[in-house]
Amino acid sequence: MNRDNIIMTLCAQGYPDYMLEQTADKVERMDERIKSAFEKWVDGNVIPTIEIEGWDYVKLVEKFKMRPVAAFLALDWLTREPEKAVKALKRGIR
Amino acid sequence: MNDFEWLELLEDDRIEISENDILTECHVNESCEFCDEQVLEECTASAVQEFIEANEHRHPPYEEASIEQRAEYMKEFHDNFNEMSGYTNNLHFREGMEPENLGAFNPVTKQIDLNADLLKEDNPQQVMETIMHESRHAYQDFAINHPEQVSVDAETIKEWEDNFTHYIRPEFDFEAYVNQPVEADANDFSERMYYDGFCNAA
Repeated sequence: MNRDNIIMTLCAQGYPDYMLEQTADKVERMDERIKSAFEKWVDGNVIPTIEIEGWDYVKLVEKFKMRPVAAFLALDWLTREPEKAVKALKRGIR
Repeated sequence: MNDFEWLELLEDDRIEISENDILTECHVNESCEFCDEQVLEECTASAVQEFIEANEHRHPPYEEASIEQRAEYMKEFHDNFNEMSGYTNNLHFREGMEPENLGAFNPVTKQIDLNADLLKEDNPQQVMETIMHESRHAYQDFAINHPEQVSVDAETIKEWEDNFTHYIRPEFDFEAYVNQPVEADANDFSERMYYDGFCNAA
C-alpha cells in the first residue's frame, strides 16, 4: 500500500492533521504480519483474528473505541514492546 | 472515550451529573503563590506514606470502609498535597464513567473527575495513583498559565503547552497517547510518588 492511500485512510477515520505523517510512518513500519492483515482490512474489510498477549482487534476496538488503524497499531506495539503495552492497556485511560 | 471526549460531553451537558455522585462539587481555588516542583514531590510522597501508615489506626481501615468513607479518605489524601499542585477543592468522584476511563483533569473548570468505580477496589493503590496522575495534569496546567509561579523550566512548559494543543487521543494511537510528554510525565510522577511513599512507610 502506498503512502497516499495510508494518508487517505487516516483522513477517512478522522485523524487530526498533526498526526497524519507520524502515523503513516508507523503504519509503514508495522510488523509484516500486522501490515499484511491491515492491507486485507483496507482492501476487503477483513477483520483480523491475530491475538497478541490476550488482545485482538475486536477487543481493542470495543474496549477503547479505537479507530481501526489504531487497533492495528496497538497490535504492532504489543509485538514490539509486549510488557509496556500490556501494562498500559490493562491500566486504562486517565 | 478518553479524557478530552469525556470533558467535551460534560461541557456540552450531554452527561448528566448524578445526584448520587460522591462528594459535592465546590468552587476550585488557585492555591499557592509559588508551587515548587520539588516541594510538590515531597508533599505527595509524604501523603502516600502517611496514608499507608495511618491505615492500621483508621476506623474503619480503607479496605473495610464504605464507598462514601473511602471517598472521604481519598479527599483527605488529596488535601495533603493538592495545594502544591496549584489548585484546591477540585476532586470529584463521578458515577457513570466508562470502565476503561479512570479519570480526567478539566483544564477549563480545573476539576478532577475520577471514576467512582475505582473506590470499589479494596486496594487503594489504583485510585491513589489516578489522583496523583490527574493532580500532575493540574500542575502542568498551572505551570502553563502561571510560569512565574513554578520551578519548572521554560522549555518543559513550552513542551507541555504544545502537547496540550496537539494532544494525541488513545483511540488514534494508544502507544503515542501513553508516550506523549504530558501523559509520560503524569505517569512517571504518579508511579514514582506511590513507590517512594510505599517504600518509606514504616
